[in-house]
Parts: sequence; C-alpha cells; structure tokens
Amino acid sequence: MTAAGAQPSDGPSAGTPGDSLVDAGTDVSRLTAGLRSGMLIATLALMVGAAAVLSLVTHRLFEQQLAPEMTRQAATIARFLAADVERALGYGIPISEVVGVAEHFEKARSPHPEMEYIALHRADGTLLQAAGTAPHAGGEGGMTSGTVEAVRGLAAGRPALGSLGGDLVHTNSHDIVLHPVRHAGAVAGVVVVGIDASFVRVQMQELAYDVLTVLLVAVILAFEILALLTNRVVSPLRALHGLMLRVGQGQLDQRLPDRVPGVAGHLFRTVNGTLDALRKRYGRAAAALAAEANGPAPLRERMAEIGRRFGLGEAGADGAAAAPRPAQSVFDVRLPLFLFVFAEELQKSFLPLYIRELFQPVGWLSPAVLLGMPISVYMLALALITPVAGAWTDRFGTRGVFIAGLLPAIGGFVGSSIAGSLFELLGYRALTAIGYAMITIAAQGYIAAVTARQGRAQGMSAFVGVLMAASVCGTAIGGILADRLGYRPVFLFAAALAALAGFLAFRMLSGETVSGGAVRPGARSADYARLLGNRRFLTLLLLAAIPAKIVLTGFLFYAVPLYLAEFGASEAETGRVMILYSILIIAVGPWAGRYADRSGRSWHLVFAGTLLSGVAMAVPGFLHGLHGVLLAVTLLALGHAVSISPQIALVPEVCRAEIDRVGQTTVLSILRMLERVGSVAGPLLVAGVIARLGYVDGLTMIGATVAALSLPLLFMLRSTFRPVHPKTEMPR
Amino acid sequence: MRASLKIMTVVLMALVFVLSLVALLNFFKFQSSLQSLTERRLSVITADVRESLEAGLSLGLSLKHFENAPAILERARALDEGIAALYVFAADGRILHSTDRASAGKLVDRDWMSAQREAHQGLWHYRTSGLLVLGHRLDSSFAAGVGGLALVYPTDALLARVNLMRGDLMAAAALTLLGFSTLAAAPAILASRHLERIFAGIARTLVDSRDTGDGGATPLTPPLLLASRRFNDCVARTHAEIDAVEQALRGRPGGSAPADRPHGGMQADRSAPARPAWEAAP
Amino acid sequence: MTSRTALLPALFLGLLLPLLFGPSGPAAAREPYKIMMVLWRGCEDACRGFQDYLRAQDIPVDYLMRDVKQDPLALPRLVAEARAFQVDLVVTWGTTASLGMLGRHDQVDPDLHLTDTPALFMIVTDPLGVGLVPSLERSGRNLSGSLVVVPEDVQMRAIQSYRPVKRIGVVYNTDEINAVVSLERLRKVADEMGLTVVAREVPLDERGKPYAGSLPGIVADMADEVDLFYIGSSSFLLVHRDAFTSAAVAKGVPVAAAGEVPVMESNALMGLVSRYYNVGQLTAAKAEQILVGGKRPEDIPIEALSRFSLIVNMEVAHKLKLYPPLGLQRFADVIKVSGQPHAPEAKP
Repeated sequence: MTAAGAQPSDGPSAGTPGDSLVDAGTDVSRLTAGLRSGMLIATLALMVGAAAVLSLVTHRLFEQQLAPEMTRQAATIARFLAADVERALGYGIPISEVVGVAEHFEKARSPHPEMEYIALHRADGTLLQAAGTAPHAGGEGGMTSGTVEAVRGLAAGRPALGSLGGDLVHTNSHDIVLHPVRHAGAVAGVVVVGIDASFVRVQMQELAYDVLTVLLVAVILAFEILALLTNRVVSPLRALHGLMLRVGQGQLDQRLPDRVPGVAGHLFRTVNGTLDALRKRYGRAAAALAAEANGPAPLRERMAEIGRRFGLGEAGADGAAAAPRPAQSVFDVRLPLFLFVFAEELQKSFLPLYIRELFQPVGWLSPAVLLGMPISVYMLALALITPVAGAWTDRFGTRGVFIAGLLPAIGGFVGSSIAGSLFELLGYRALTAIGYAMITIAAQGYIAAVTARQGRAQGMSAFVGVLMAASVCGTAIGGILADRLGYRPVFLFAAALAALAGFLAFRMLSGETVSGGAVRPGARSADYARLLGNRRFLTLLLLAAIPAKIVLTGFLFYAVPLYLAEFGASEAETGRVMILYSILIIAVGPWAGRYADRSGRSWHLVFAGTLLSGVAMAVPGFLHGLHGVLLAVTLLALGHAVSISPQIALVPEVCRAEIDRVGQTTVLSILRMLERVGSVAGPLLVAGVIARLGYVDGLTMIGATVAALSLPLLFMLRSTFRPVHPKTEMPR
Repeated sequence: MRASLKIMTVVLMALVFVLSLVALLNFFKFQSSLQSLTERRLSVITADVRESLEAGLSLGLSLKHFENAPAILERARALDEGIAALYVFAADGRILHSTDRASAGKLVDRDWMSAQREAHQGLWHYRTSGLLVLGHRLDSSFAAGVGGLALVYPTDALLARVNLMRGDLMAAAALTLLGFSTLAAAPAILASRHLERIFAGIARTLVDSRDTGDGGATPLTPPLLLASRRFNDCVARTHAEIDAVEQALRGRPGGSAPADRPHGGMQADRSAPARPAWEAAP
Repeated sequence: MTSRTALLPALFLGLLLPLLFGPSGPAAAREPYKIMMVLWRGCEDACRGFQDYLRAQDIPVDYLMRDVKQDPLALPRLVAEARAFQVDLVVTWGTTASLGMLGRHDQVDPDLHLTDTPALFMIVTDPLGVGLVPSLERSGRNLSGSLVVVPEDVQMRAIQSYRPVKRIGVVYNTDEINAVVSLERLRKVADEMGLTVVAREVPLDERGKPYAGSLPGIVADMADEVDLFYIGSSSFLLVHRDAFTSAAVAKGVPVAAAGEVPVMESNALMGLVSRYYNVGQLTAAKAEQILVGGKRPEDIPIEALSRFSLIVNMEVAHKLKLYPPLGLQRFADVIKVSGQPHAPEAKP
C-alpha cells in the first residue's frame, strides 16, 4: 500500500518518477530503488523492534505501579462482599445454604476486569461458591492448595501478612486477597478475590490498534523521507554516471561538483582532474598550433573538432566549463508538501466534535448546520483562492508562494487552537484554507516546472500520492493525539509541523523555478457558459461530480465523526475509520482508471460508483454502530475509487467541441471548479437533513437521493465510445 | 555529510516518531487505567453508601432527618485513607450531612449540581485539577433526585504517581532509542559501504581498465562498466588525437610541441596518487 | 410570598420546588394551609407518611383529622364540614371513604360530593375500576391521587428474582370483582413471561359466600401442581390469610403476596408492596404541588411509587429452607429474623 501511495502505479514500473526522468532504465535507478526498499525494510524492522522493546519495558513498569492499586481494589470489594455474607448469616442462614452467592459476586466482579474470580470459602478452606474462573489446580474443592492454606490460616487468626482484617497472599498462580466473614464472634468463612495477572497485559493490548496505526504512519513517513534521502545519497553516483555517459559520447565540457565529501568527492576530483588535464593539454596544443603561423589546415581542422568537444570554439582559451546547474527534482517539494498536508489533515477526525465543544447556540440556525459550517467555509475559501493562488505562482514563483502560504496556514492553525467561539474558528479555518490552496498550487507548479513534459503526468500522480499518503497519516495520528491530548493542542502541533515544512521548503526548494504554466486554468466566464450549455457535461456534473463531493464532505468529513461519537467511538477509532477511505482510493483508484481507459466503460463505472456511494450512506440504517460506519465508508471509498477517475476520462468525450476551442486543461479546471459547489454544500446539506430526520434516517434519505440521481446516468451509456486518454489529472 | 550519517538521521527520526508516540500512548493508558481503577474502587464505596441512604429513604426517613447518615459517611471514609470528605446534600445543593462538620448548611459546588443533573443513571463524576468528585443522585421510593451524595478525593497522590510514570517512560523510551539507533548504524553503514564500493569499482575501472577483481570494490554492473569504459575510451582517444596533432606539429620544422605523454585513460595521468585513497579507506 | 409567575418554571422540577425556598424560606412565614384528612381506620402509616413529608418540607399545615371508623354514613357530613371550614385540600383514605367523599366520576352530585375543594385520594386499590376517575393521566376532576397496587408484571419479576418458578398457583373468590380482574391481569402477564397460572375457585357455601374452610384442602390439592402461590388483590384471602399461608407452608410451597399484611402478619414468604408510609409521602408530594406549586389537581397524574419494597419473612424462609438470594438481601426488608424484632433502621 505504501508504495502505491507514493507512486501511483500508472507509470513504468522502474523506479520513482523522479529518477526515471533523468535516467530511466539504467541501473542507477534500480540501485536507488533497491537501496530504498532495503532501507525501508531495515527501518521497519527497527521501528517494530523498538516499539516491542519499549512495550515490554512499559509492561513491567505498569505491573509495578498498578499491582498495589489492584490489590486495594480487590480488598475493597472483598470487604463489602464479606459484609453481605455476614448480613445473611445474621439472618440465621447457614453459610453453606446462602443462595445466589455466585450471581451476586459476579455482579460485583463484572465492572472490574482486573478481578479474575471471587469465591466464598468455608473456614476450613472448602470452596462454597465462586464467580469468574477460579483456577483448577487439583487442590481441595478445585482450589489451589495455596489458597486453601491461606484461608485456613486467616480463619485461625494467623493471616499471612498480618494486615487488618484482610490479607494478601501470593499463591503460585495468582495474587489473592482474602477477607474474613465473621459471625457470632468467629470466622465463619472467607471471601477470596483472585487478581487477574493478565490485566496489565490486556490494558496494553487495547493499545494494539493505536500502536499499529503509529507503525503504519511511521512506515509511510519513513518512505517519504527515504525517497528524498536515497535520491540525495545516490545523486553523486547519478551525476557521475551521467557525466561518464556524456563524456563517452564525446562531450568533454563536463565537470562534477568539487566540494563533495567522502569517496565520491575524491573520485569526482580525480575525474575533474583527468578532464582538466585533458583540457589543459588541449589548450597547450591549441596554443602551440596557433603559434605556428599558417599551420596546415587539416591540423587546424582536427584541433577545432576536438575543441568542439570541450564546447570551445576555435579560439581555444583556457576553457573553464560552467558548473552544471544543480538538478531539481520532484523530491525537493515532496517532503515539505507531505509534512504540510499531514499537519492540515490532523483535524479531520475530530473537527465537527471540536466545533460542538465550542458551540454556543445561535438562534437562527440549527446546531447541526452550524457544526457543518467550518467545513463548508473551508471548502469555499479553498475554491475561491485556488485560481488566485495560481496567478500568484506565475508572478512570484513557486518557492515564494509555498513559503508565503505558510503564514496564513500557521496563523490559521494557531488561531484554531485558541478559538473561543464558532465564528472565530470559521475565520481561522478559512485562513488555513488560503494557506492550503497556496501551498498545494505552488507544489503543483513546482512539479510541473521541474518535470519534463513527458514526465509531468507521473509527477502529478506523485503529487496526488503525497496528498493521499499525508491524508492517511494525518487523519490517523490526529485522531490518536486528539484522543489523548484534546483538540486544541493538536492544532498547535499542526502549526509546528507546518513550520517544519516551511523550513524544509526554504532549504530544499530552488528559488529559480516558476510555474510551468500547468496550473493556470485561464477559464473565462464565456467558457463556463458554453460548458454549462452542454447537456451531457451538465449531467456528469450534477449527477456524478457534485454528488460525489457532497457525499465526501457531508458524509465522510461531517457526519462520520459526529455519528461515531454518538456511540462513544474515540477520535483514534474515528481516524482509523476515515483513513480507510484514502487507503481504498489509493489501492483501487489506479486500477479503476486503467480499466476505464482500456474498456471504455467510463459511464458504467461512473454510474456504478455513484450508485454505490448512495447505497453506502444508507448502510448505517441497517447495520448500527461502528461496523455499519465501517462498511459504509468502505462502500463509499469503493464507489469513489471506481468513479472519480472515469469522470475525468469522460470529459474529452463529453466536451469534444469545447476542448477543441479552449483546451482540455481549461475544461477540466472548470469541472473542478464547479464540482466544489458540492464540497461547499455537502456539510450544510447533510447537516440540515440530519437535524430534521436524525442520523440514520437522514443519511439513508440522502443516500437514496444520490442513488436515485445516478439512474439517469444509465441513459448516457448508449453513446459510449473510446475516450481519448486524459493526460493530466489535477487534484482538488 | 556522509551517506551513512544521513541514513542514520532518517532512521533516527522514524524511531523518535514511533517511540515518542508509543510512549505517549502508553502514558495515557497508564493514566486512564490508574484513574479508572481509583474511580471504580471509590464507586464501590459510594454505591454502598447510597444503598444505605436510599434504604433509609424508603423506610420513610427524610434526608435531612437521617440521624444515621453521618455515621454511614464516616464509616465509608475510613475505608480509604485517600478520601477527603463525603457529603450528602439536598436537591437544592445544601449540605445536610458530611464528614466535614464545618460544611453543614453550605451549598455544594455549582458544577457538582450540573454534573448530577446530567448524570447517567444517577452516577456522576466531576474532575478539577487536584480533585476528583464522585457522586450519586439519591432517589426516594417516589421521587428521583431528592438529593445527592458526593465523595471528594484529592488526586495529588495519583498525580505524583502519574508523573513518576511519565519520567520512567521517558527514560525507557530514551534508552530504547539509544539502543536501536546503535542498531540502526549497521544498515546505514552497510548501505553507504555499498555505495562506496560502487564508487571504488568505478574508480578502479577508470584508473585501471584491466578490471581486476579486488575485494574492496564491487564488480560493476554492465551499464556502469560500459559507461566507465566509454569514458576511458573517449579520454584516451582524445589524448591520442592530440598526440597525433602534436606529433604532426613536431614533425614540422620549428615545431615546439610540449613533451609527449603516454596515453591510456587516467592511467596516463599519473599526477594523481598511484592508488586512489578510497582503496585504503575501510 | 414570591409571585406565582416567578415560580412557574420551577413547577417543572416538581418536587424540587419547595426546596428552592431553603429551610427558612417564605413558606415558613405563611399562614398554615388547612388540610382535612378523611381516614377509615385512624392515622396509620400512610397518614403519617403524608404528614411527615410536609413537615420535612417545612410546609405549615393545620390538619382537620376526621376518622370515620369504617362508617360510610359519616361521610356526607364531612363534605359539608370541609366546605364550611374552607379547607385548602381534602385527603381521603381508602376506596369507600374516597368514593363517599368524591363520588364516581360519572355520578357526581354536587350536594353530596366535593367538587369545589381540591382533593387527593390514597390507598384506593383500583381507582379506575371503581369509577373514581376515568383516566390515570388526567382525572378530569378537581382531584388527583396515588396508586397503591404493585403491577402484576413487577410482582412476577420480583418473584423470579427470589426464585425462578414456572407454575403460579392462584386461589380466588368469584364474588369479588378485584380478585377476578387481578387474576385476568396475572394470566396476561404470565403468558408474556412464559409462566403457567394454575387457578382454583373457592367453592361457595349454602349462603352463596366463598367457604373459607375449604382453603387448606384446596391448597393441599394444588401443592403438587404449583411452585408458588400468589395472593393478589382479594379481601377474602386477606381475611383468611393464616389458614391459606399456613396450609401452603405445611406443604412446602411458598406464598408471595401483593400486600404487606400476609407477609408481616402471617406466613407468606415474600411480598413486593407499596409501603403505605411511602404512598403517604407520594400523596403529600402531590399535595405540595397543589398547595405551594399552585398546580391544578386535574393536571397531576395519578401515579404509583417508582420503587417498591420487597419484604421477606425470614421465619417462613427458614421453615421452607428457601432463603433469599444474597443479592436480593441488600434491597430486601427482611423481617422476623429469629429472636429479634424487625428493625432494619431506626424508625423516624
């Protein structure tokens, strides 16, 4: 999954997009990939090992700290139960005829998972009744001999530890706590509470999902960093290889960077020395030839030919070749982008819950709708700023816009963490959206600029891959953090991460790059009008694209966190449910795209996917609780995975005339722009319906509507033909 | 920075990420386990007190005139030395009975009352910094909420243990990190050694085109070998061509060509040390 | 006193209301309310519970205690007296006294019955059945009241929690409508719970009255077919409780009762009952809503207690070797513990 996340597999399989642009098919990229996967496996092994060791150590710490607490707990319960039995004896009931002891003890035991069993013994050690699973060690009455001895000792007034009334004994299998049952001045029986030795382990096992999530995220994170790192580590070799290839082809005007440390540097200097010496020798020879007035023409001819290899004209001066420009690559922007999106996605699993916490009733709007407002406002700001951010990128360069975008983003995060009211939060979320738009557009522009034309599609899928991977990581970790630290600190953490992303961008992005122009939509209102006049485009937009966004923001982003919270799911669990969406999109999406391309069944897929997403929303109506939501999110993700990229694939078919006039990029960007109506309306719409009908009925109704609206798509099937393959998929 | 250090840094970052999050998760789990153990133990006590009080209520005692109440509260307090006080209060929040005599007649904290109003099946708890309040609504046989019961438990002892655990966990995480980053050195060094050997292999090929299998250098893969050889060939060819030009110049009268140099790639250029430094390097 | 409108929101809090005044609130300074209590056989537990509750709330009351000593003919005079004294509230005890003072809801005669004075009834077994009110939610009259009978399903569940039984034996007399209706309800509940009801009529003597002497024989006859006898609502069995319960105990079959008398004063093993004292308190809480809260009686639903008392006769439990489960003992009121009188907590 990780690999697919970072490098959607629609490109050639060798290496990542970045490598293949420079030296596709060479063994340097194979080496890079091998190095990376080796490192990834090593890192993974180390991380799992470290987590395991730390858990073991923690386990011991927990046992030391919790054991006395569990003993106290057991002592308290034993005391009260002994009092109950004493009352029964006080009514004149013989201890062996007290009924319902096991049931009563079980009722007392059940809220306390650390109590393995509670038993009533006669003073002679015989077991009378017990709740829970008492150990069967073949001793008297099925109890271990240690217990029997302890009971007899206590009954005879010789407690093992001499504590007040009660007693704590370590038998070979259990820690047990005893409390005497007194009647008529003598010990008539003993209540024994067995402490579950596995309690601490069970407590820690409850963390298993969280720890696994952390490991998953760590793997993705390590992959992102390693992608960058191996690229950097291997880059000297790549440079050397490239140089040797060019020299081999007779281009002698080459030079490697001098100030490279280590073995590589030494080799570089030697190579440079070799070439320098050659150049000098040529210089001397050329000078000598020039001194020879009226040298023979064929000789001059040959010298000039050699000189051209050095990139020199006939006037063979000392020929200091300019240092080659540092290679820019997709990797420069990958990590900063990843970190930033990671930061932004931290809030996803709990934003509506956070809003609910801040919420103060506002008379004129239903509370449910108010909870949806921040998501809608965010989407709106994003939609409005995106075109502007594109223009800025053209004007100020990608690096500048990327770093400038961090200001509103960090401001928005910090503001969100201290927001005192819903409206403040709205403002800060909008601010974050501005930053998000600037940064993602700048990153996209950077990728477009540094990738050659044929590598752009791959560069863009790398971009989408980073967004998806960061979304998985951010949502999952955000949930875990919010669960433990509360909502506000998570936003501060996001601000810190964003700042780190800014630092990396500052260090790693090249300042010279301006947008490659792939970002600018350049659509005019006339273009919008023309497209909206196209009935088939309109069908696609209104029945597939916009409902998809409504379901995404309204159901997944808005309703899922709130609905899961209704029955007590933690933010961490919510996060895990939500990342299922991204994971499935990553896993299934490319496959669906390829299938649509090959088979030309795009309408089928769009119809099926939209129908499925509608059905998904109705699932909680049949299957309640966590499982229902899990299934719903799964179906939704499958629906979107099979329908989103075919939607794009349909555009060339549906809008042939428009594309001829204004170009495919513009048409696609108009579709992107218009479908954002759904993103903005989604939370408000879903909230409004939920406020009226409740979660289950409301979601079912919206789902049914989406499914019903997908039916007219069937009529489009007849006109299906093989679409022209779309080249670039623009996210967001 | 050396490649192995770079790789180490990445592994270290991943380890820090994992260990700090796992430590964080464990820390909060400890906190919640301890808290839940404490709360459950205290709730066993409040449940008992509540049963006694409600049994009295259904016998017709009013909360206010419940003469046994102080004794019941006092007995409960003796069960756990951590309990600061127990209170029985009327529905308006006025304290009727308490282990803390001075508080009689005063009103309980407003927040307790709102916690009790929102109680689930009568049970409520309320937490402030340093205090845990566990309570239960008291119901008579004909009316819910004739008053309430509250147990106040200072949490400083709990907090001290939680802080202790925090320190222990941090130390354990730091030690684990130290141990595993030492382990991480191995793959990092292996990886950078691998790269270095490739460079050594290239150097060998460039320096000595008779490719002898030396332990220090990885045999090059065909593309790299080919590229190295082509590089050598081209350099050698250029030298040869310049040679030819110079010879032609020298062959001419008055020719003042520089001293002749043997050719053959880098081997020809012996201004560099005889054996490259990397071959001596580990 | 503070204005009534200011109190209106507090009305929803019902019982919490008087407490808002605090112990030295204005209520104490008010002129006492006048309440007439019409009693059937003196001021017993319900009557005391009523008075104790109002006293605990610091509501000043002047009582006009009228004990008719089981004489229905004394009632019309009391109606006139209540009017003459302009009492704020009349409380009636028992079915006869309540019907006599207030009349059937469809046969109210303003000359004979109270209409203008707010009234509360208590200890009326079946206010719907006797026609005191047409509905329990709203009386539609200037009166309200409290229920005393514990519903059959609650009874059966209590019995099951003491000891799971399948076959319930009921002996009933046909001359009492209560007994027949109670049996019908029991049959319905038993159906839902998967229990079997074995019912036997008490034979009539030559005067057409149920023959009490037949009880030990009937009980002995049925003993093999049933796990437990249940005494629902029946004056006849209440009168002949000793004969009935002793016969059952002799055959080793426990008796559960819907009232406290067979358990407290005879040989029934257990009973889930509304304690009269608590019913009195509940009625007083409604009185408080009327007097202090200003609520109209017809707006106050007629309710039962929310929590009943389980009484266990330990003497019988010993005889039958049928002890209450340990968990039940926490909530049960265990009486006749060998040697010592029943005293779970100090009585008020």
